[in-house]
Amino acid sequence: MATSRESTELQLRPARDADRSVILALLEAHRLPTDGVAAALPGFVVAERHGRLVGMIGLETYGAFGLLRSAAVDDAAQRHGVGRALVGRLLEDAAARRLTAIYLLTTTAEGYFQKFGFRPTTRDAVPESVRRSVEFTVACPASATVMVLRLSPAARP
Amino acid sequence: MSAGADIKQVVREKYGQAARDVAAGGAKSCCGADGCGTAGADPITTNLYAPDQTRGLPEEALLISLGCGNPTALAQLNPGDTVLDLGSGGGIDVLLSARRVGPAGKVYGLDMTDEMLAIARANQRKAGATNVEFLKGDIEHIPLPDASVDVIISNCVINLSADKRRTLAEAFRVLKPGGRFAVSDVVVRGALPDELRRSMELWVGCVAGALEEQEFLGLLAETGFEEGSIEPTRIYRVEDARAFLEGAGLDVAAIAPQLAGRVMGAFVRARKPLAAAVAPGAAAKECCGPTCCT
Repeated sequence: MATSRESTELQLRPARDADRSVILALLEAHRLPTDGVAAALPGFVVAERHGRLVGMIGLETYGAFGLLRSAAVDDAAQRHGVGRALVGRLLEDAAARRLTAIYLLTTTAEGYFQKFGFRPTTRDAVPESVRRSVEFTVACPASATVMVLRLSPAARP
Repeated sequence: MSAGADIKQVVREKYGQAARDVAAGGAKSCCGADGCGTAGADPITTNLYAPDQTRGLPEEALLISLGCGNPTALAQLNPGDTVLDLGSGGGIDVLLSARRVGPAGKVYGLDMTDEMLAIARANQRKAGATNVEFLKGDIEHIPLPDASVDVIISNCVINLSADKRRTLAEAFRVLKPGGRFAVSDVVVRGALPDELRRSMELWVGCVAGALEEQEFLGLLAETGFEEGSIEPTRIYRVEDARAFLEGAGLDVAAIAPQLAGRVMGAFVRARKPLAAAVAPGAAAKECCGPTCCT
């Protein structure tokens, strides 16, 4: 069976409570907010390579809207498609949950997320439930770029 | 200003003042004719916690408690649970819960008052609690995602909400399927004459708004909760309110029979069904402007 080197090595799975300390350490290493992580953990997916957690991403849902947070890949594991795999998985999860839009805040990765179709938007255009989230209210600086990816209704079953 | 915004502002000022009073070494009650900080031995907020339960917690956390029950003692909390306290005030119920859920668990305290958040965080540092996070926000707009919390506790705060339907819908939204709602609140049993109700509510709840028992159960069911129950934990005596009611110009002897056994601190319990996927309606219908909902 022909599988790429990456797919045999990289495992994606939902985060477990036991992952919390590694996730927090990775967030701190990347200077990303740790506020609200314990509550958001049920929406986290982690990437493992050879049994070691090398990256994660979080999807918080607020009714029909998603908030992408805490996307980070261990420095040593970067440039091997880990981030791409994590974002891809998150988009699949969002589609499965029939979310209508995904929002995110970033100070460093605007260009990266543009590749997945995210576009800059304003805070005013963000639904109130998402705008009141911990990520928007306490965790991220007001200067962070707000981005949105609208999910096409046609793509949903 | 709308009535809801008005109530919110009054509550914010009143509890902010209570926080400043405690910070300055003053009294603790928010109830009574003169507002916060006047009562010596308030029958509503005193003697709620057993000494062995609060041992090792900062005295300030206990002194500033403005609750009417002890939800942490009554709620079933398991090690590893994620708990949310609506209106966490000085943080005592958060700190007590944090002990119960242990290092694998997490307790969030939500409060809209900066002064209370500052005191709660100071109490957290003194208690050395690491599995605790205090968040600023309204209980009508909880800043946590859907299905993220195992247990919601609250101590005499739901009655202060200007939009209880919205508050319960938010509680429902953030609870995981099977999650538990376990709060202490002031509840009125049966219909009271309006004037009397207002006077009693001003006394017990500081700001009018305690729900009638059946109304509370009805709202819980409409929100989607199941197994709703209300269990009285402390039935207030007319005698306790005598000075306040007389001060309000009421003939206490005449109204006592109508009030007896009707106003109580109660433990309100309900469960989010396992099958519940998302909150019915509320968030899905939310709109954010002319462009994004079309």
